[in-house]
Amino acid sequence: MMSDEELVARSRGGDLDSFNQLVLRWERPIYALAYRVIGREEDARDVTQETFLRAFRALSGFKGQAKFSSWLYRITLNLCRDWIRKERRTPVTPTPEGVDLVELAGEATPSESIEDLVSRKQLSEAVAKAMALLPEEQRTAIILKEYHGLTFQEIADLLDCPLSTVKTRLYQGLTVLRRHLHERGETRVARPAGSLDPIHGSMN
Amino acid sequence: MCDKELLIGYLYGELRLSDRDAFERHLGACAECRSEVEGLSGTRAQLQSWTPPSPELGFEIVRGPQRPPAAAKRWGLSPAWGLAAAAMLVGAVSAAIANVEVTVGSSGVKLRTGWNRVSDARPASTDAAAASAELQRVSARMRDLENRLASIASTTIAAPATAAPPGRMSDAELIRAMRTMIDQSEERQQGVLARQILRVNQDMETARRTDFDRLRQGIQQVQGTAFEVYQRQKAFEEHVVRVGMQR
Repeated sequence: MMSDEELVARSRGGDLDSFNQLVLRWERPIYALAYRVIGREEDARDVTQETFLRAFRALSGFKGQAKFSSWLYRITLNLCRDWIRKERRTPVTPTPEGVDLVELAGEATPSESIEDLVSRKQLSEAVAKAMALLPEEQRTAIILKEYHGLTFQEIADLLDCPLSTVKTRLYQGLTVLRRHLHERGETRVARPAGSLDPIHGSMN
Repeated sequence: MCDKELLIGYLYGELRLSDRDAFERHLGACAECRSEVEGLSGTRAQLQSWTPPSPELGFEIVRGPQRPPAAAKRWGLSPAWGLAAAAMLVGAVSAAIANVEVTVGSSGVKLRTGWNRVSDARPASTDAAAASAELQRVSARMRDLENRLASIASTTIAAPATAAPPGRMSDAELIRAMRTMIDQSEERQQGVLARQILRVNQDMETARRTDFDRLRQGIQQVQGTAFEVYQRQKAFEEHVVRVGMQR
């Protein structure tokens, strides 16, 4: 399988199929990132689409100074920021949409009881709501760390802030989440690792 | 005051070996940090339950002929459309989710449908089969959920309700939660369906306008050419008449 860098080089040479391979490879993580930052399915889809359009148009300016994925993440986060600014001007505060039961049921293992399924959905919703309460910069740092597996340094580079700021945002964000989930009486934990890919969410 | 940067580095396994050893020694002596590491680890585990939806995306950059700027965004990157659109177009079941990719090519507007990423134009029947298969999969999931719910409900009726163990839901609570979730799921599917239909309609309208503009330009070209031919013929006839009169 070709690396991102090889596909980028080919795309810059005008090979559209190579760029579409990059789209196929990255559309799920980018959608997951946009969805978790803004919490709306349709808008996350639009942000994902716009990310790849912008990346395609700006490909000639991408000199490989960062990883292709980091470059995509940066475009996505900028678009999400624009979306959040626009939403703040509207009087209605959107609440995050939960994961659909049918989708959860599709991921369920045969050993998972219906009670486990309901419990998982409730915990998922509680987490989504608690995340929505965090300031944007704390939420973004936690999303990049928890669901995309970036290092502190990668997050600092992406968000253009010092390493210590990233750690502070993570610490403060996690502490607030812990308190909110505890207040809601959430003592449940997620299914054991392996059933879900924490890096790419429902990518697999 | 303990060093929270070290704590967070430890929590995510990003400390140098020497720092990690030192922090572990600190943990042995500091109950507050121990409790915090334990609590935040639990929170991290809870965060993993939050999964995003997994819609069919199937974005694809397509290179088409020159198009009006307003239509370029929508047409340049065709998302794989979701629920029911293919079902509408190919006559499959109305609640199905399908991709509808609209591409403007040299041969006109192409509509491609189906659940999965479409690399080439495929016959509609293949896509309808894929849509139908996916619909069956979703229906089977829903049936399974309903059956499991019904089985719990019947057990509850047959056996007297017993108090749920601490931390567990009672059967009545479980049934209520499931019913709410199923209702939410249906409502969501309907919303998705409505949005997909709206998008398909908008795209069809854009395609119609693009084709109309192209057609009008073509007609104008033909008219222009015909007028030029007419002018030339007329000039030639006048020339012939003039030459005839001179003779």
